[in-house]
Amino acid sequence: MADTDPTETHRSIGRELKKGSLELVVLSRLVRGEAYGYEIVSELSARTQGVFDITDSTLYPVLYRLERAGFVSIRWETQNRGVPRKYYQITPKGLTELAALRAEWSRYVGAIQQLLTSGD
Amino acid sequence: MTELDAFLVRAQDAIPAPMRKSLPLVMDVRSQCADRVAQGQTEQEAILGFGPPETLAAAYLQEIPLALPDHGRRLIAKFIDLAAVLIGVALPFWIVFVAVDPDTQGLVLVAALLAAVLMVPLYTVYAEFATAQTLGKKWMRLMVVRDDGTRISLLQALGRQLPFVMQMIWVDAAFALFTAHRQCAAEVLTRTRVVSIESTVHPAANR
Repeated sequence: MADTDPTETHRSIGRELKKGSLELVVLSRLVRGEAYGYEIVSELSARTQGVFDITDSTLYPVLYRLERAGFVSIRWETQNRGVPRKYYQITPKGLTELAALRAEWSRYVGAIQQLLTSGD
Repeated sequence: MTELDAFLVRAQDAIPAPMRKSLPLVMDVRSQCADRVAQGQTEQEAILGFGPPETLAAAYLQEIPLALPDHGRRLIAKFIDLAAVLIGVALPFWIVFVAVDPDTQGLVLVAALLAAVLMVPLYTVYAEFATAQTLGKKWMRLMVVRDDGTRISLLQALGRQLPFVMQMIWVDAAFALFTAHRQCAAEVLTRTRVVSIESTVHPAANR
């Protein structure tokens, strides 16, 4: 049986948690107002002291998923720099989804908390 | 060509041709890179955040569910392809056929038959590799992709024609009736599949 590096296991849990909660986190950010990709990435990292540090390659496909699902709408702003910037806004459907995801998250966290403390 | 352009070419290259225009990948990457460069990063550093271009393309494509192909549409597509190749081969050979003396006409017929047998797989390999679609598949709104939704390689395109070369197309096709993703035997082996081009929505969108 191969030895598993405990640090790597912790990182892996973090990765999985990030992946599973990204929609929730992004929609939560958009409730506070429209934002563009770079803004979302840097805000998430800054507000969580780097715990929720996500790469552009992780964020953009998720934003595309949310857009396809109708949870966010987009607006292009043509800047002086020549490359337009894409702003994301949460839609009423996105708000409903966010409420469902929040409820699911709370239920999950509650259950884990219960499991962790029941051993004491 | 800038480093960013080269990155985008590689990413686009991994996307099946019919999907290229519908994915926002190019504009997303350009926009994000411009923001990062404006914040003081170099273009190279900005590109690094996106990882390998092929992986990024696959991540975008993963968001589009692969729709199962309709058996009838696949069959019609195959007949269209066969008819197109036969017409394409028959026309030039017919010109030769009427021009030569009757003694040589038999030879022209044999040559035409051989050309047709060769052209069917050759055309299919080229079309599926280059554009993910043959003429029939284009008309029937089907395309060929890898299991992860990305563009197939030349080797995979060649592998898909093995049943035709080995004269086992019926056995190969029968697999599509029983496999989960309606894949023929060669498709299971080459990890490719034919999918329907439809505007599918996120399951949550119907809640």
